[in-house]
Formats: sequence, C-alpha cells, structure tokens
Amino acid sequence: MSLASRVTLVLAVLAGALAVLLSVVAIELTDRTVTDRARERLRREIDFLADEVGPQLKSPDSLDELVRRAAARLGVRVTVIAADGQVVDDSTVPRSGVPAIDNHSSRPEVIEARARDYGTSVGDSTGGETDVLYLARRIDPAERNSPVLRIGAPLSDLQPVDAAHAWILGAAVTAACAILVIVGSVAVSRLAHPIGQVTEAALAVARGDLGRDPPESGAGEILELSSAVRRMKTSLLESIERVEGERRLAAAVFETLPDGVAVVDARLRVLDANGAFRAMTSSPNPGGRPLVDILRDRELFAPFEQALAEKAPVDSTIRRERDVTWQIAVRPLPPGSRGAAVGILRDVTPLERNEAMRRRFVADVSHELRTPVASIAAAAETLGETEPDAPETPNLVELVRRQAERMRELIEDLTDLSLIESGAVALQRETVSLRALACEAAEEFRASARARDVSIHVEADDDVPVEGDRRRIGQILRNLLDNAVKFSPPGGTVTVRVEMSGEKPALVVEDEGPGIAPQEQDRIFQRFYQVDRSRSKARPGTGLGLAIVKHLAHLHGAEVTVRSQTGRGSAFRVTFPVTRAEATTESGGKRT
Amino acid sequence: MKEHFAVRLEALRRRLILMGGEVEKQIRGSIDALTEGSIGKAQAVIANDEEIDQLENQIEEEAIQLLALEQPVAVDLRFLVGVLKINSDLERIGDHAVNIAESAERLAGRPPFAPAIEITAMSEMVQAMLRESLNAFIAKDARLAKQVIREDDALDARNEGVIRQLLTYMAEMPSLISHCLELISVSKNLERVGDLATNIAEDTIYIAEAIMVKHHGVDIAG
Repeated sequence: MSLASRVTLVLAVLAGALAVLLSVVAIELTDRTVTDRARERLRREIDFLADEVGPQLKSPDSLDELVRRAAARLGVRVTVIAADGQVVDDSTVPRSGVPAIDNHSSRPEVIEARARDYGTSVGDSTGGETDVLYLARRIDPAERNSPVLRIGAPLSDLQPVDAAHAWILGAAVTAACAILVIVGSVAVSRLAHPIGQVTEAALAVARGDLGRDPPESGAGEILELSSAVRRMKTSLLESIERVEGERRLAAAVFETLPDGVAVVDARLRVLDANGAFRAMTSSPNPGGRPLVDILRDRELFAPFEQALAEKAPVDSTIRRERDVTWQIAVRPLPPGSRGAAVGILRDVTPLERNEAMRRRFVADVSHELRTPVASIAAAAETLGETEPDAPETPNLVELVRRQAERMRELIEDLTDLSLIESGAVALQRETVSLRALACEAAEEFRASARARDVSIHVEADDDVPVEGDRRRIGQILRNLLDNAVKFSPPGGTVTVRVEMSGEKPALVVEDEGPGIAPQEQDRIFQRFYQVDRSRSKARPGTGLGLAIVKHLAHLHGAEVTVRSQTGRGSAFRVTFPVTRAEATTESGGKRT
Repeated sequence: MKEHFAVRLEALRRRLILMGGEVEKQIRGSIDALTEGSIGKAQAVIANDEEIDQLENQIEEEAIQLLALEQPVAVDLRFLVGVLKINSDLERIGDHAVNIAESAERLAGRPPFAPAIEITAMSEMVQAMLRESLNAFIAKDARLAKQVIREDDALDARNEGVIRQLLTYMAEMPSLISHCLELISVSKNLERVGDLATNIAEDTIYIAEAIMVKHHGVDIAG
C-alpha cells in the first residue's frame, strides 16, 4: 500500500470518527439546550397557569373552561389534581369522564411536586402513542396539601432536533470530512509523488541502471533525499569507473606480459591465460579447458600438480624441442582467490643463447690466443736450442714476429670492440669524403689482394661526403675489404662502391666469394662467428671484424646490411644517415 | 560416489594425455638421434622406454579397476575401453621409437645419405599424425580423427617410395646394403607408428560417436 493511500485511509478513518463524534456532540448539546429552554417555558407557563387556576378551584365550570382554553392556547395537556390525588379536571378527558380517571397521588411528578415545589416525569399520555413530559406544581406553593396543577407536553414537541435535523447535520459534517479527506489525500499524493520518483531512481540504481537521475524538485526533506540519492549514484559511478579502470589496467598488463601466465583452479582447469601463454602453447582458447589438454607435457604439467599438492612454489627449467628452453614457475594462490595457482612460462632461449655465446666467446678468445702463444713458445724453445746463426733462425724469428703480430691484432680488435660496446669511443666528427676513403683503403689492400690474384675496383661516380670519424669509417671499410679479399676466389674481383641510396650515402663492398647462407646472415655480425669453422684456419682472422663494423656503423647512425646468395658472392652495404646539403663537394668520376 | 568416479576418470584421462606427450617426445627424440647421429639421444630414448611401459601398466590397472568397480555404461564405458586401446597403442608407438633409436645408434657416425631426407619428411608426417590423433582424442573431435585416418594412405605411399628408392641404392651400391637395410627398418617403423596413430584416431571416433571404424569399412569421407 502506498504512502499516499495509507495516509488517505488514516485520514478517512479519522474524519469518519470525527464526523460521528461531532454529530453526536452537536446533537446532544443542542438537544440539551433546547430541552432546558422548553422546560423553562413549561415552568413559566405552569406558574402563570397556577396563578390563574388558583382562584377558579371553587367553581368547576369556570375551572374547566380555563383548563380547556389554556390547553388549547398552549398546546399542552392540563390536569388539575386535588389534594387527595383525585383528578379534578383534565383537558384531554371530557368532563363526564373525569371521575373515572385513576387517582394520581402515586404519580411520580405529583409526589415530587408535593415534596418540593415542582415535579417532572416522562410518561404515557392517556391517548398514548408519544411520550409526554409532565410538569407538576402545587397550586398554592405555601400550602403543603394544596391541589396540584400538571401540564404535559409531548416530548416530540420538546425535542427540537429531530431526525431530519440530524441528517442535515450529519451530511454537513460528513461532507466537510470528505472534503478534508480529498484535500488531504491530494496534498499527500502531491508530497508523495517526488518520493516515488526518488524511489524509482534508487531502484534503478539498484538494478544497475545508472542513467536515471532522481528529480530535482520536491519539498524540504524530499529534496534532501533526492540529492542524497543523486550523490550516492555519482559516487557509485565513480567507484565503478575506478574499479573498472583498475580492472582494465590489470587485464591489459596481464594480457601484454611477455611471459606466458595462466591461472588454474584446484582441478587444474585453466581459468585465465594471457596472450603469451596462448602463443607459447599454440592454444587460442584455453579458458575453461583442462590444463593437461593444453600443455600435454609431463615436465610442464608436473610443476602445477606439485605446487597444488604441496601448496608451495615450484620452479623448473625445461628443455623443449631442440634448443628452446623454458622456465616455469608455479605459485599457489592464497586461499579465497578464484584460482588455485598461477603458472608463469618464460622462454629463456635468448638468455641461454647469450650465456652459451659468452661461454663460447671466452673459449674462442683463449683458443685464438693459445695458437700464437704456443707457436711463439715453440719457436723460442727452438731458438734457445739452436745456434744464433743457424739457417732456420730467420724463419723462426719471422714466425715469432708473425704470431706476435696476430696476437696484437686480436688484442687490438678485442680492445676496440670492448671500447665500442661499452660506449667509451668518442667519434671525431668531420666531413669525410667516402670516395677518398675508398681509394685509400683500396690502395692499402692492393698488394695483399694481388698476392691472392684478386683485383679491387673502386666505383665512385659522385663523391659522397658524410659526417663522421675519418679513422673509424676507414676501419669499417678496411674490415669489410679484408673479409672480401680473404673470401674471394683467385681471379675474383672485389668492388668498392660509393653511391647514394636515395637520400642516403652508402658504401658497398662486393665480393665474388662463396656467399653466406640465409640462416647464417643474421649471425655473421656476432663476435667470433665464422661461417665455416673448418675453413677458418685457411682464412685467418680474429672473427671480430664484422662485429666491429656493426658497432662502428651504429655509432655513426648507419645501418649495415648484407645481401648474399650461396655461391654468388656477398655485398655488404653501409647506409649512412642523410647528410646536410652544404657538405656536397664537386662531383666527378674516378675509376681505378 | 559418482563424483569420485568422475574425478578418477578425469585423472585417468590426464595420465593418458601426459603419456601421449611422453611418447611424442620419444618419437621426436629417436628422429633427432637419427638425423643428428647422436648416440646420446638414442640411448636416452631407449632408457626412457621403461618409464613408458610403467605408465602403460598404471593406466591399464586404473582403467580395469574402474571398469570392475564402477561397472560404467554408455559414454563412460566407451571412454574406458577407448583409453585401454589408446594406452596400448601408445606403448607400442614407444617400442617403435626404441627401434628407430636403435637404428640411429647403429647408423651414428655414418656419412649422411640422400634417402635420409625422405625419411625426415616422412617422420614429420608421422609426428603430425600422432599429434593430431592425440589432439582429436583430447578434443573428442571425430572430424579431426577422420582427417588423420585419411592421411595414413599418403604415409603408406611414402613408405613404399622410400623402400623402393633404398632397394635401388642397394642394387647399385652393395657397400650401402647394411645402411639401407637400417633405413628400411626405420621407414617401416615410422609406417607402423602412422598405423597406430590411425588406431588412436579410430578409438577417438569410437569414444566420440560410438561408431566402430575399424574393419567395418565405415565411410570416413565426411
């Protein structure tokens, strides 16, 4: 039941009760007043009549006339009762019938009148259908045994408020109450309407419909209630937004973590898995599936089982196919969370590879150093045992010199590389002519190339200047040329080209050697990586050249690429960044 | 009681899937041993076979116990029967892996030989079939299983091709006869692994669709 109808109902009940009460009180009050007045009048009439009747007592005829006239005039019954109670005269009875009337001495009004001055009673009239109010008094108040005069008026005459009056009064009161109820209920429903709106808005919030605002109208407390609901809604929206934002952030972080993460429940079903996990296990949709379906590998699955059984973290490293290594860490989740454990898969193959490379680097360095050191030691020993002027002495000395030279080269390369890698090398930047550098370097290598029956060409139609360190760019060029000459077959040609690659100056060194297989092309820039280890003895080198080239090029902001096909030679291209236009010098061709 | 049964069935299924993973590794290991000429890898495969056998025994025991104690019907019964069959199929695939590993051990140190490339291609096919048949079992995917079954013909053809090629070599170069015989044995073992993967696929169809494919010439074209 709504508040308005409840209030209306209460109002109606109250109004009804009030109407009844008011009617009763009003009727009773008027009734009393009017009856009292009527009695008063009756008394005055009886007093007046008593004065008239007194002198006539002796003459029955004039008494009778008086009695009947007074009765007719006043509209009452008049009775004269003798001292002994015998009725002397009565206006309602013919004179002849008077002696037959009962003795009235026992009538209450008569007894009362004898005792006091007046007496009243309500009784039947002789004719009998209506109640009659009798008032009696001694005719001579001074005489105790005086005859008694009695007048009787029908009560209906005396009761001024009859049924019709009561009806009108009742109707008026009821109408007033009805108006009260109607006006009251309208007022209440007016008051209740905004409450209803606020309630609906609050219910909408409870249902999760946050688009609805409670009204901004209403009186006093209702306006307060409405604004309280509005504030509640606003703060709810803010909280939801904040929580949703945090959830989205957490989900995004989870999804983009580079490690594979999966949450499982106590029955080892996947609750959630991130992108890396899905990619690592090649399962696009692992949610809700048994973990075993997705991992299918005892080594991967066991850590989850173990972590759940022991409620303790489990870490494990697993070698997958060939050289792929995964680390797996499973952590039980605290009780109360939705999942039972979280597993993290990390592909540590690159780390392992780096570690392997580091180990190999150390091994390579010691190997590269051991060979010349052993040769030098052997030569020194032989020299110690032979005469200084023995025929083999110059050869041995030459051997020692060559090996020492080789060690020096290696140590220089290593020092260079470590300096460059640690960023300790500062470039002496100036405008450098690539053509001039190419020609210089070609000249340097011409002798050693000729010894291997390899010719060197420089193609530099346009001189291309770059901003850089002359010595370091020269080093790049020499390392590339050294390799090119070394790998060229007898009769082959090495071409050094200076050209513009679009806007960018580029240096290209091409050879006609055995080329590099595609899968090797990424690795040749690694330290000590030599494509064909079996052949590295035939082509001595430190194995650091290309690594140095790569790092030096990067220092200049340049890019080193290789284009090669097995059996068709290789072309190394160093592409420098765009230089400022004013650095351009005269153009012209020069061929060597 | 029913709940308990479901948990035990799930655990059994888990064991079988993990055993499948192990058997896959055994096959991969034996092929790696062969192509890399690695005696170490071959010996690892041979040593690991005992574990496969133990896994088979455990699964068989558990499946029989469940059959006897729970007397399952319909889906669960088919599943348990299927598990028993796949279990023994997997164990036999493990044996073939050992055979291949033993050949690898004997061939280690010999120079590489042209038909070996063909064998590698065949081994990739077989490994894919095995993987797909296990995937089909895991996902109860009858369609995938039928695909595996269809692939078996191509594998058989490939096996015949390899054997014919090796026989030609043997006729032309008698010095290579023992080498070729070893490779023929590898090829035959791979072909058998393919057959067993097909069996797993058939058992999967039986579990998923209650249809016996084996020996009934049921149309698997769908």
